[in-house]
Amino acid sequence: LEGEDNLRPPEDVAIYIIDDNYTLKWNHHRESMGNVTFSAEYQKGEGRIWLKVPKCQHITRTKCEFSLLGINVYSKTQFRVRAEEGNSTSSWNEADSFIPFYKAHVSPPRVHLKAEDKAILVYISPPGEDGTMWAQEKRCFNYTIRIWGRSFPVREIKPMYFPKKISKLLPETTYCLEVRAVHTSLQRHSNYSSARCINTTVANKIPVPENLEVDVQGDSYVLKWDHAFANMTFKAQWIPVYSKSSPGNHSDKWKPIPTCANVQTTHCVSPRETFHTGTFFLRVQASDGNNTSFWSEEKLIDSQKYTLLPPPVIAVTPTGDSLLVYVSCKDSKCNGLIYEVIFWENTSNTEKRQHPQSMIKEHPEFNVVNLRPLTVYCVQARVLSTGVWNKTSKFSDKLCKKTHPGNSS
Amino acid sequence: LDHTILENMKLLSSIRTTFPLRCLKDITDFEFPQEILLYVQHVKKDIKAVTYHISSLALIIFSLKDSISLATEERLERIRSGLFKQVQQARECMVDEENKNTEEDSTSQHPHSEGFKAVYLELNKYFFRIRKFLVNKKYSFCAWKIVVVEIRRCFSIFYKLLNMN
Repeated sequence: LEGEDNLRPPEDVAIYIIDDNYTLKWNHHRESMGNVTFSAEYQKGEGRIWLKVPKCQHITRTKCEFSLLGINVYSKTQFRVRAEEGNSTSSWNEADSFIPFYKAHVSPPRVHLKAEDKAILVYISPPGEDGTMWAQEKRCFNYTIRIWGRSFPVREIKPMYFPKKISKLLPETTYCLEVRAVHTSLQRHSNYSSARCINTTVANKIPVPENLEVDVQGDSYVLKWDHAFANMTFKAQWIPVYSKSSPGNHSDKWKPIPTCANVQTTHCVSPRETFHTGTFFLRVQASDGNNTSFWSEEKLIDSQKYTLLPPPVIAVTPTGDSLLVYVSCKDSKCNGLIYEVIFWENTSNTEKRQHPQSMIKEHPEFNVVNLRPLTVYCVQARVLSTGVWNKTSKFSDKLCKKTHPGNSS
Repeated sequence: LDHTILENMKLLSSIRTTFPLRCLKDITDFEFPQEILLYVQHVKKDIKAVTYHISSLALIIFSLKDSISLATEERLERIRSGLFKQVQQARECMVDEENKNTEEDSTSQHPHSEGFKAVYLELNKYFFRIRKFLVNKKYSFCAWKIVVVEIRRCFSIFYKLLNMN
């Protein structure tokens, strides 16, 4: 090709990617003392056209750094570089094509600290925030916090909710910490962020409320806590758990609890419907009118723990010398349950009265066999949940049926 | 997990109510990667990991700031909360599966094979197309209606697969 024969193309073209930042490097053996420049282009999987790499046109260095936002990082991408001198250009050196998503390294997360008197709040921003590379991976990163201080050995914390509040620290003390991100599926981790240090504040005049607990009373939750001082007013807030499950500052997402907004007691009652998500966090703050405490530890509530299992409904069908019992749940929420059926002979003769016999299965159908013919038996059933919370329902209403005569179905 | 997926499908249906005629013109084929179904039916041990990734990707879509127009804030929070529960349960199932596989085959190196990486990539491409569609349509009412239908369909596919296992 005209003008291409005496200029050697660049060699060893290599690409390094961290988040959405690309570094293209190459080598070039100069034969002439002329003014040699380089230009790079790239091609994305779908389109066959070559696009100019931004900040990488007619440069004299053998390296260029740029970011590619908005591109499809999951499709094959290829780079090429050529040398230029005056009007002549070398041939293109096309590097191997690759998938950026698989080549990208993870940058350390950005970290912001906020001090309380006995706690530090760690705000983490996910790697490559607002970029493209990890835009769909925010929920695939785990984080490791390393914290240390004077007479405080290095401690590793793996937060599940954000911001992470590290408590039980000393006032007016310096603590340092660093954070790294790990992509759980790709098994790729970042370096640790640069260490950041912060001093906890002087001890607050008002200590935080402690031992926040929740109980259920009918259709309401009862929140209870302890506080060292008398004559305080308290306010409680709640936030859906999912809101705190991704890194970021969620302070604007905490919601007031109307019936716990300004109470003088260390408890308050709130209708369960106030909290319209199945799982949520609670926190409480104290005030004496002039001074306000920091927020208490955040309490995670799973409403399923407080949801009673309704008693099931049973159907009993005599067949020969046995009874077919079918257990069904009222609002068809029978998933993941264990069924227990008890039965006994219904006799007025107290000597002959037996203890109820029990059968337990993972299926709702029971065949109670080897019964006495033409005899009335009573049956009840209940369900047990072995999920996150072990729960047992009350027994169903009793149902009594007479077995058929002998040798009949 | 499958009970939670079913609950979330109902929640998504609660948004879908009627599908306005004016939205028909925006209907798009997001090219759900069918090869994933072949893969998970062949490599059953990875179905939990695939379900976990789909649940995470779906939660990210519904956590976008621009999803506000989709429903009332309370309903949106119920959906996000339900999806988050699905992500948590899928992750627990995935970890259980990985621990089981490691016990059975202690020589198994990386918990995910090359096949899974390819599936992972195809899922990312699929959700990238959905996300690009929302961006191009400026997160319009119709765009969200179409995306809800698509993600609900995706969930129902995996609900059936989970129940086949």
